[in-house]
Amino acid sequence: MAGARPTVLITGAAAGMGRAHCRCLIAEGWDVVAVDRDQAGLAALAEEVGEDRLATVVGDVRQPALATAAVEVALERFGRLDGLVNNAGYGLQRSLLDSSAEDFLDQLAVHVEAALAFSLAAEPYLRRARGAIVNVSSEWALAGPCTWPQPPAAAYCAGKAGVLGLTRALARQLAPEVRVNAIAPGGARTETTLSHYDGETLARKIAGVPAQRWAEPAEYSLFVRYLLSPAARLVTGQVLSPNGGEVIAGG
Amino acid sequence: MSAAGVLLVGGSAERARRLAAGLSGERLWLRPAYAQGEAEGLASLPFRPAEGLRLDGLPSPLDLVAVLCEQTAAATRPQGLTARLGLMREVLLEAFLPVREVLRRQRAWLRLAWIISPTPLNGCGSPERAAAEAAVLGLMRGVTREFATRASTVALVVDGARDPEATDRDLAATLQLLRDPGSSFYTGQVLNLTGGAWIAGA
Repeated sequence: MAGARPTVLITGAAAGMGRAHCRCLIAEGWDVVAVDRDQAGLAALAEEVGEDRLATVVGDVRQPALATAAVEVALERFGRLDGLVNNAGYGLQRSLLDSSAEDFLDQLAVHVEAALAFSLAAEPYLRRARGAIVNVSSEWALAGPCTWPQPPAAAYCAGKAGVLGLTRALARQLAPEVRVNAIAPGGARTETTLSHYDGETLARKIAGVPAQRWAEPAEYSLFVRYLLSPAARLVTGQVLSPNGGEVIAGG
Repeated sequence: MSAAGVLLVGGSAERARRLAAGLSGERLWLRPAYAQGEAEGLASLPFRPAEGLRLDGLPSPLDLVAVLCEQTAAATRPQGLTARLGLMREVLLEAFLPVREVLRRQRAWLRLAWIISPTPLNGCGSPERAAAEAAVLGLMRGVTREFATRASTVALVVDGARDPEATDRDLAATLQLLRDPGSSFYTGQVLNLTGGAWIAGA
């Protein structure tokens, strides 16, 4: 029995931007299936937002079987699936010269292969619901590691850029029933990100952003919410990059 | 024109032979498993990304490394999720490992070029191929920032299905231009050689 409210599945949901997306979409009237390998983080999220509108799935997105299991949870708990946010990922700042094949393959697995597996698992239900997929990339996919001091990060850039190619191909393959878009965020004031830098380093990074600040995670959630909504019904295969002007190119 | 060496990576034997014919200097081809045979008149080394890479007999110094990513992806049509993921991994490793090895060995300036299809830009093609070749674009941008004083980079977009011989002739001529140190300020860019079939914003 399909529920009255739309349902979205969000990976990497226990912290940072993923957690912000969960809060935002629940507030907007969605039911949410939150996927993460951080069991404690998911429990904390459930305690914060309540369990009426939230189902949690613990697991590593690098395991393709997790995608099928998470979609089944959405159907069993809420009876429908209208949206998918492929958000799980992590940064890797390492010189190309020191990067191994495993470094590259893991970036591909977390960012691209997981997004593909979840998209394919969700496809029949998203088609039925005329739903949408939002993939989370990075401004570094568009411009390389542009943030001062421009740390080496070729493997991470490859993984996040792969997300954009996947987005464009899936947008064509799943049209017209399902829209597929990506966001390529700039700096985010997540706990993880802020823990990497001392105050002086962070100030120098932010000084390079025309907007003179990094965004709160919830600001990126607004773009995810928009891309999932009927208001974006003409938007597919596109990349939105809210980055405070840090990357200005193309046209 | 420069007479330094060229490292060609990937592609079919026919494609490698045609490209090499348009490039001056000593040339070595890293021959992938799918190439099925040698390219006549072109020195080659077998290259299987999963087995790592040894670059014995590398021309030195190099002024061009050209990786034929789009040929790699076009060469196989995998079925099933596992096989599709395997293709993505192979394309990315083929694009990454030779470049890493050359940058480890050589300090002198060189041009790094990855040849891709329009698929990652226009989405026309399989998701795994689009993702893999888009990842190559990300690799190119990351390498550009990290090695800006040692290497200039470019991604060349070609549609190999349209008159392959003419495409490769034009591609070789473009690579000849780009391996000239005078072109070194052109870096981190995507250059379309698609006859206007793909005209859109960056």
